[in-house]
Amino acid sequence: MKTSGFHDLEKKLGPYTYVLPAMAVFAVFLFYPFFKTIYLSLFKTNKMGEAKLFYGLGNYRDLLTSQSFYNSIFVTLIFVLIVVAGSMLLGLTAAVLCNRSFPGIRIFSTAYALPMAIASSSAAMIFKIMLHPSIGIVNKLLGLNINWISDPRYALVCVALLTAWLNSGINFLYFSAGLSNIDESIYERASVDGASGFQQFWSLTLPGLSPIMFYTLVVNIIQAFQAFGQVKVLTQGGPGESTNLIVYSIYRDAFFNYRFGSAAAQSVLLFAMIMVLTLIMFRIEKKGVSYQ
Amino acid sequence: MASLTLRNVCKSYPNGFHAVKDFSLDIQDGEFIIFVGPSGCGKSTTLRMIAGLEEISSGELWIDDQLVNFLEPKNRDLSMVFQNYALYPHMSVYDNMAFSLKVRKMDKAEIDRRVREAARILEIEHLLDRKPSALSGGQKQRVAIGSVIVRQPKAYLMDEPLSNLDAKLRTQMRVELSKLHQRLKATIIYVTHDQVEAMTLGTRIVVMKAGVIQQVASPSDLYQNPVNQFVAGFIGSPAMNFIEAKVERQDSDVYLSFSGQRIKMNANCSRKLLDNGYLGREVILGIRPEDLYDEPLFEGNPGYTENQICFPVQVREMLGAEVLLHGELDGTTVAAKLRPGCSIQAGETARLYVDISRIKLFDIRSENNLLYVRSQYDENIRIS
Repeated sequence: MKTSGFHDLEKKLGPYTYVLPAMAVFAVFLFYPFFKTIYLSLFKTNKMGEAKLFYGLGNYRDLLTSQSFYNSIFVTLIFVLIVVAGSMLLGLTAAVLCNRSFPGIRIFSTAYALPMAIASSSAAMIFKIMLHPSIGIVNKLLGLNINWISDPRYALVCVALLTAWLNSGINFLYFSAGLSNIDESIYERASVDGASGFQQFWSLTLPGLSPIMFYTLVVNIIQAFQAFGQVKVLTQGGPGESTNLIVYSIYRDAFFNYRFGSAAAQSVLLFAMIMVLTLIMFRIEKKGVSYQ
Repeated sequence: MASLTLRNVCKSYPNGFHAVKDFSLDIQDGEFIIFVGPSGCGKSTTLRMIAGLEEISSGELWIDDQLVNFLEPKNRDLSMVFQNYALYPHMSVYDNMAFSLKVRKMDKAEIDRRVREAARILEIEHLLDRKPSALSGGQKQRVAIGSVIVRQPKAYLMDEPLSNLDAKLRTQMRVELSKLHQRLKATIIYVTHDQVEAMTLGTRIVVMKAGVIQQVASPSDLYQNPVNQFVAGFIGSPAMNFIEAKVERQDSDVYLSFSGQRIKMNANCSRKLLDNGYLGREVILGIRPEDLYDEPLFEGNPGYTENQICFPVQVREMLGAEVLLHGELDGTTVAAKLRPGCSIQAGETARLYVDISRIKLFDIRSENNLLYVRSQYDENIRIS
């Protein structure tokens, strides 16, 4: 009896042992920091980031009454909008252009996919040189004299466009995979049916891409919310607070101002925002996305 | 509806492969034209050139009185059914059928009327809200046909539309296509590799081989008067028997002799053979399996024993309405299609009577039919 009881237990627990290694990694690098962040957000901390004084929802209250936090949110939303629209548009255009075979296609494909292999900070360094007011190529080519990074009107757009370009590489790959899944013969039928190139794109390509496009949209939005490296290198949140994206603001609060409690509260709010947005998107998905 | 003319149309690819060579054909308004041939013979390529999906390498394509070589597919006013149906996967059946009208910005009420009318004809009204993924093969096929008949284009193009259906459904859809043609009085160009479809549907059949038209003729003409050995062998099932035979003469009679047997030629065959100097040479004797009989054709005819061939039967197939005997004669397979009461069994020697009036004779080198009677369509084809 005893041995069979042990056998049953082993049978029940056996499968869980297989997920244990992955779970352990998640636990150390995701779950523990996540819960620790929630915990910290309820405290005032010392310079070492240790919880010292229970502050309840005080950190949240402070944030929600802070002009700077609202600015961060506003700047982040604008940033996300430009990045997502830009990177998806770039990726989609490149994928559509490369969706036919012509000599040199591999060179173009590589060029379009390349941004995903570039580290955001090194791309930011290159952009910094390109956008330099006196020696930068951008001003030279456009014949302008604009201090792109130091002017509050342009800084955010510059960082956003750089991020859009960086993200467009992986989008190009997603969209290329999506396009190659669309049956070529429906385009042949559509062209005999009398549809113009634009009508074919609108009625066949876009709906055919909608599942992958939804996935790309969700991933892009989450990614854009978490942009950090390019801001750190290019603008450090400035000029003023014009590029103080929420992740950068968290970083600044925690490691410059040593207000770990406030930073943790911002992280929790960022998490809540992304979660709500994602849930809304999954709700909308049922209407807009057509799986075959 | 419209008439189409192809003048010396060729298709060649950059690698030097010639898919279609010198294709010339006049297609009259309202004809049901079939392109038939083995795979790779260029029939689909020709259809796709007509549709505008493939560029015409040289030659001219006229629809009515307009040269359309350089016209985009969308401006040719044709409709096409594809082998895999090519339904738009994310659109409902209704939207699939309405698509070609919507892109032409037709009035919504008119679109609705036409789609429902087509759905009624094809009995798919109950499927209009479904997506293609929720349809069976036969239903998809109907939707594909429905999508082309909502419009009245200049011609309907069909690329092996029945090849993905099971045998029973194929027979059923064949009959319906035939009815549809009578009802629409439409010009239809239909590609198939199935000779039964070709024979039953077509008002005229174009037989192709290696990119070249072999013969253009009505189904009965094609069967009775094939231009060469290829056409004779391609049309008919089981295929025509081909036996190499030597032309001999005894007194005033001409015989074909092969593997120790000989059959006597009738007056027409004798004259053709003698006039063309085949005496003493080899020809190919073509006998259709259905022109062999296990009983004398004309009881009491003293000459009938001279029209017999013998071969050992290897396989006997009982098909219900008929019996097929398969055997071998000098290394070539021979088949006979006999009445079901036939008593010859496998392992026995079949002694069968040949209907001499229906045999074919082919030149051994050119493979041309020596008994071919030229027809009105022959100006379109090249007889080598």
